[in-house]
Amino acid sequence: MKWFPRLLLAALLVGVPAAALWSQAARSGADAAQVVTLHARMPEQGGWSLDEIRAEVGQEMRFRLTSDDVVHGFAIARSGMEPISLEPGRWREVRWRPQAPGEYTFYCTRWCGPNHWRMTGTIIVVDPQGIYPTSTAAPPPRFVRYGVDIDSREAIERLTGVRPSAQRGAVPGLAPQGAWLDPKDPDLTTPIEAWNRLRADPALTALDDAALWDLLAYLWTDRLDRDQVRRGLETFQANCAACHGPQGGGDGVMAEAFADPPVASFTDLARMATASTVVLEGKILRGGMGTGMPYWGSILEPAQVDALVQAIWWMALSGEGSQAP
Amino acid sequence: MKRSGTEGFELTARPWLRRLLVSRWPQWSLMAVALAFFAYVVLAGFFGTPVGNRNIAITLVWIAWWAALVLVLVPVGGRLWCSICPIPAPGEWLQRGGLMASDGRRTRGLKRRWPRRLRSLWLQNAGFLALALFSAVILTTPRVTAWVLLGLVLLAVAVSLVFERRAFCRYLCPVGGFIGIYALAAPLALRVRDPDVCRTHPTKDCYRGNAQGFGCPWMTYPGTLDRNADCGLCLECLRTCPLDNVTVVLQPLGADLGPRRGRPPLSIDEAYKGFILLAAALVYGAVMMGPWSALKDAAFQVGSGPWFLYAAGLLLLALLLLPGLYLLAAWIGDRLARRPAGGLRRGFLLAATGLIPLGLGGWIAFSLGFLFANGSYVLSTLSDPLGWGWDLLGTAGLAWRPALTGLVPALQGAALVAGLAWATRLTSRAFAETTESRRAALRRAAPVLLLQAALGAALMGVML
Repeated sequence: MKWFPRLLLAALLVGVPAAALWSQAARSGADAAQVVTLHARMPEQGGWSLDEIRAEVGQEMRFRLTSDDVVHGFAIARSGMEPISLEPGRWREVRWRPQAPGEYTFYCTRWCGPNHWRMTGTIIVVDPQGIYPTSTAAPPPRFVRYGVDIDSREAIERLTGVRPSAQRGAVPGLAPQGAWLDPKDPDLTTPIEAWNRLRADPALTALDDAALWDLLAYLWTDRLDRDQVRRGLETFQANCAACHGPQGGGDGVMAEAFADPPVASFTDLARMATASTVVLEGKILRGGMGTGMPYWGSILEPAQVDALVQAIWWMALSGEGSQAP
Repeated sequence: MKRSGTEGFELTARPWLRRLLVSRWPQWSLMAVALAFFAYVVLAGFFGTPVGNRNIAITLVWIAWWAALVLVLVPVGGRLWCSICPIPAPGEWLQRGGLMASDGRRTRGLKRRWPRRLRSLWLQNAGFLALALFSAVILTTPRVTAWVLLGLVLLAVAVSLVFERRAFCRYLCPVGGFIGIYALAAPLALRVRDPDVCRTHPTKDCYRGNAQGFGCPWMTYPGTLDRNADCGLCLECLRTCPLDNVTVVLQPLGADLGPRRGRPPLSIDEAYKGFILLAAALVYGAVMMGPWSALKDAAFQVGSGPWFLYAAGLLLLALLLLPGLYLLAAWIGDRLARRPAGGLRRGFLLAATGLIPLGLGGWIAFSLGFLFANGSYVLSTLSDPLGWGWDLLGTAGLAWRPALTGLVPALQGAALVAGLAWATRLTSRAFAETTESRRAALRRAAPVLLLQAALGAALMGVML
């Protein structure tokens, strides 16, 4: 009987865990999908447990996802996947079958901390047989094509505190006679250039400076696509408001973490007067050099970027903040 | 059941129960199962999810085991847990040279005697306080829990290889100190039927051991054993006694908490254990159940400025404030009673008697809140012990759901009121039995009873 205690102890220490492992393996069963286990952690703790995942086009992937600390989210950019929430310790599964070779960014969709935007990784989808069509390379963004310096921090101090209102500027019968947009590309127009053109317009000499800003706000926001603005505001609240503030005032809950340089305020006309749609688009796509502004080019679809820019102009000039039109 | 020579009902008078207790197998098997769970818990702590409520290292230890210990095992069974505790097992098996029995040839270790100067609870008090300062992190972080548990086993092994018997359990284990002091309130006890039989028995097999079993691992001589704190219920003396004089009894509640031959029931180190545990119950209640988020943050941010303040506050409360208040109450009582015999030291230790039921009530209330609020995590983690996404029992997906939310405050309140009432009765009795006149005893006890009532109210304030 001397051996019996040893046997019992060994059975308990080794047999029970082995039985548990076997039981779990039997439950899991065979799955042809490529299983990817991903742990989400705050960027300060290492971010995603995998930075890079390799996959084959057409091969289904089964993502097993969990968070090891706070609530995170998961989505694959430009895949059409709905973001899913990852609660600490809870496991979620999502399947995805890449349809074209290329690099896809997966990212956290919940504001998990000041460095949330660093929580990205890449799925490299290859096509060993070369039978799937490769997506055509995207053209370079417009700020590159036009050679626009998107890092300029030019500000017009005298405009500090000026809050134009499209509502006030909507005066019936009041309209410029001449062109007020950039002839090369309207999206290159900055508000201050447009305002100067309006100031020079003989039809508008009666308006004082403030009224002219209101008129410009009206004209500017009148060009915006209302549906795009609404979509852009949703994207803004989900991705940008944590830093830029719910009203775009640069006063989000994470703004303190990026005090130098401060987070951009879209309601500060002194700064927005020198921006253009091309500049805003470039900032979103490439991110802010030397600031906490992440790059969204690998995450957002072009239509989303366009909507976001329109929403920013809406917040800056409509006088209605982030209230959807 | 027949009444034993000691006070209480003799459980071992039932032949089947006696056979069950004398046999090594049931106890050893339970200890082996506990050791296996202990190993799983440590592994889960190191390799499982770092999310505390999804890791069995946290849920099994700090919710299930802790609740079982505080709500059932200690109040009813005293040191019953110590009898199957896995922490000393590896060291003891090494020391004895066998898993269950020893042939005497393969024993290991120096078998030195534990230093006389360290034969007290002071090291246990220090160990408990050291853990208490980090408790918020230990209780919620699987890896830290695993390190603490592994550290305790390694320490127990090291102590077993240097010192004789279970010196770790008796003088070092921080949990053992907690269990021991509150075991004084428990009805389950090991006693001898007739102390005179032991006195005249020359070989003292219960202490030295014989072919039937080992000498008392707890370094206690059962012949004079009259309190639960010094007995680990390992039952070796039940096996070794050739005169069938050892028995397991259910004694009246608080039988160990009366004055012992005119002396206070607690020594100064035990009284301090009572202060530390009462302070910990108050502070844990405030941190875990109170609405003070700054306090909670301070307890969790180990190493930060607020944490140092929190740690200083806990130490101050446990080592100076509570003892100081009891000393003041005892001093006022002595003045009111016109300096009774025994002096201030005796008054202080008599006053401390009430700490046992008062503190136990506080810990029961705390554990009730903890268990019913977080018990659902145990079910989900049993199905997914490591937080790896398993579902062994089909309960991994159970959502967190507090149970009996309407009833728990009432149960907590009842535990606190019962603890306070029992403390009042014990304290009054302790002073009455050691003071010359009834009037002087009342005057002596009055300030202490007021202090106890205030502390009972404080416990209610933080827990309810």
